[in-house]
Amino acid sequence: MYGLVNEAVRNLVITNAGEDTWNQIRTKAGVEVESFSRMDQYPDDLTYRLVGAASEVLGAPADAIMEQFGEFWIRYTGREGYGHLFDIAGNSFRDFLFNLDALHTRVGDNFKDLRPPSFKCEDVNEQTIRMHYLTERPGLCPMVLGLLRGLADHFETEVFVEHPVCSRTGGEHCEFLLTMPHANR
Amino acid sequence: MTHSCQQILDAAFPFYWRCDEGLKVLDFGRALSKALPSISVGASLETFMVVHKPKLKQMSAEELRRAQGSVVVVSDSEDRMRLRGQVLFQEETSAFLFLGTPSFTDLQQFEKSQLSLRDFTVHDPIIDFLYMTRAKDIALEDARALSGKLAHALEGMREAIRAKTEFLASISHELRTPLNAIVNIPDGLLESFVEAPVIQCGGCEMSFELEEGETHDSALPCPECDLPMLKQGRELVFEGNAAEAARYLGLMKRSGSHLLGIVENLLDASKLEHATLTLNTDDADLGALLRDVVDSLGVQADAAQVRIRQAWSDDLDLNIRADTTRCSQIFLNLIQNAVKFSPEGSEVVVRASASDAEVRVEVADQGIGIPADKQDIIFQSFRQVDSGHTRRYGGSGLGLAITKQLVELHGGTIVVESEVGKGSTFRVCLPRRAGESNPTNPSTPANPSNPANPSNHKAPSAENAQLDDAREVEGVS
Repeated sequence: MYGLVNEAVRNLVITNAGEDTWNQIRTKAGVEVESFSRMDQYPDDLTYRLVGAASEVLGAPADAIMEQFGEFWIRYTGREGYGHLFDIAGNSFRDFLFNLDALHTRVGDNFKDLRPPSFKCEDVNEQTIRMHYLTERPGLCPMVLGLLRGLADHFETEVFVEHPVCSRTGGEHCEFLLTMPHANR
Repeated sequence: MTHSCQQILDAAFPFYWRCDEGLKVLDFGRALSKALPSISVGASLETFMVVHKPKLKQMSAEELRRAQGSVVVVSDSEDRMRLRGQVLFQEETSAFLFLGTPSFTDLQQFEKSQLSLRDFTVHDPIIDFLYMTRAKDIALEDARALSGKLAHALEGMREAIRAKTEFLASISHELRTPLNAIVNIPDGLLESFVEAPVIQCGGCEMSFELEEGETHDSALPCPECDLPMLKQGRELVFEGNAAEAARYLGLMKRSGSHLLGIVENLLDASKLEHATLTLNTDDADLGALLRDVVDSLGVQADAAQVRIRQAWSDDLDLNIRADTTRCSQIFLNLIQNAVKFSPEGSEVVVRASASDAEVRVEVADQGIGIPADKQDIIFQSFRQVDSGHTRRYGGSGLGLAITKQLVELHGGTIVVESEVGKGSTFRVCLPRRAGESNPTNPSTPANPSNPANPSNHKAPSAENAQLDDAREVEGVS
């Protein structure tokens, strides 16, 4: 996982719970560095350990923490100077979702060993999109829920999210149903 | 050019323009007006555009033809945004075609341009370039931040080494003074012992001193047991002043006790540094504890002509859960320091107050005070307001670091308010259930404290006297 992700986790914890809590989490996770080099590659295991330690220290389920992180990720990357680069993926929630895969492909091409996830979207009807989430990293689907919520906020769009198929409960990959009651395609 | 061709051209190159051989604009891409705002169909190139590269003698069809194959850089007349591309001449239509895209060196330049990434085509490498530029900026920011942290850490290490060197010098002095007493006093005492001729009885083992040169008749019986078993020999006899010897022995004992105190504090400092110091928490009456501490400092305060006033009402509930030994150490250190730094005839006030959750103790003196920029330093290990304090006031200057760590180990806080020349007030807050809320050492690991003050509750006046005596001996030796 790129340091940018771990750095976002650090930012989220410090913003919501303070520096001392972050140090507790870091220590519990066995992470010696105080911060991360954002463009450097770190073992995936480190990020999973951070999430596990955050869950223990904050007394919150890991899924809730990942969901909150997903929502934070949209704000964080915008703040980190990627906001304009988001523009390329569309100026509406729907456009953005359909371009999300291309965005990740482009990022994956540019950054060595990034191994980004894939998001394939298809229209179910005028108001509903089915999104297929494919990744080699297991268990991160709650983060996608948060990402979708963050995106909905970003585009000021009312969205209802369902998660009918999950890889953690036997699904081949996760699927999300996104319903926008006020959508005009 | 057909309409569909123009559409494809526009879709693939949104910043293109075409002009005829008279250099009048024929058509242009949908995004070009953001870069060249004065462009319009029919306008002459030189009215809205400057060619930066290659250098043209003049804006002419001939010069544009020569520019084919070169990188062409153009902008509006105010050079707000540059476009980089190439010029092609289409023989069939007798038209010049410019294919290019805005050129940016960083993301900030792009942000100022009023362009959106949606103005660019998907295949345009400028998007990848901007991604990479941002990545480079982030990597540079991180590298600079890391470099700053390393420089800071290096400075901290240098400062720590310097402080430890100073500490070693001061603690060596603190150790040497009583050690001198212990090492040198026996020399004087040993000189008081002389070997003298004696007769000893083999029966009752009594010895009888003989004058130098005096002889003894071995046939005579022992004056004590009457047995004829007397033999002549030599024995060590003390010929010094017994009162003086007793004073020296007392001084040796006090010097030894002082050394023990220093070593005990060093051990405390070490335990605090390695977070291995644990509290023995019990019910404690802080009021009684404070009174005991103040009583134990009575002789020292009298000698310094400083009055210690206890300012709290007897019915105040000062019961807490805490380690009484460590609490005594905390307040002994604070009050002893206050006395040490107070001028003759002044007053040290010990105040106590309490709420349901915590008790607060203030130790206020009218002493020399601490400069504002040094008020943090006094709680740091191996640091002093100035190194001259060690020589002037004694101690290695680390007692407050131990005190702060002991307070924090109890889950409490300590702060100081001070004004140079007017005095200092140290304020300690301890939770009622002090020592149970914070079982581990909360201070930074690299914060061992100093044994300037004793950890046990020996009478400090005796220590001071012993130090004075020891210095006296040191001066004589």
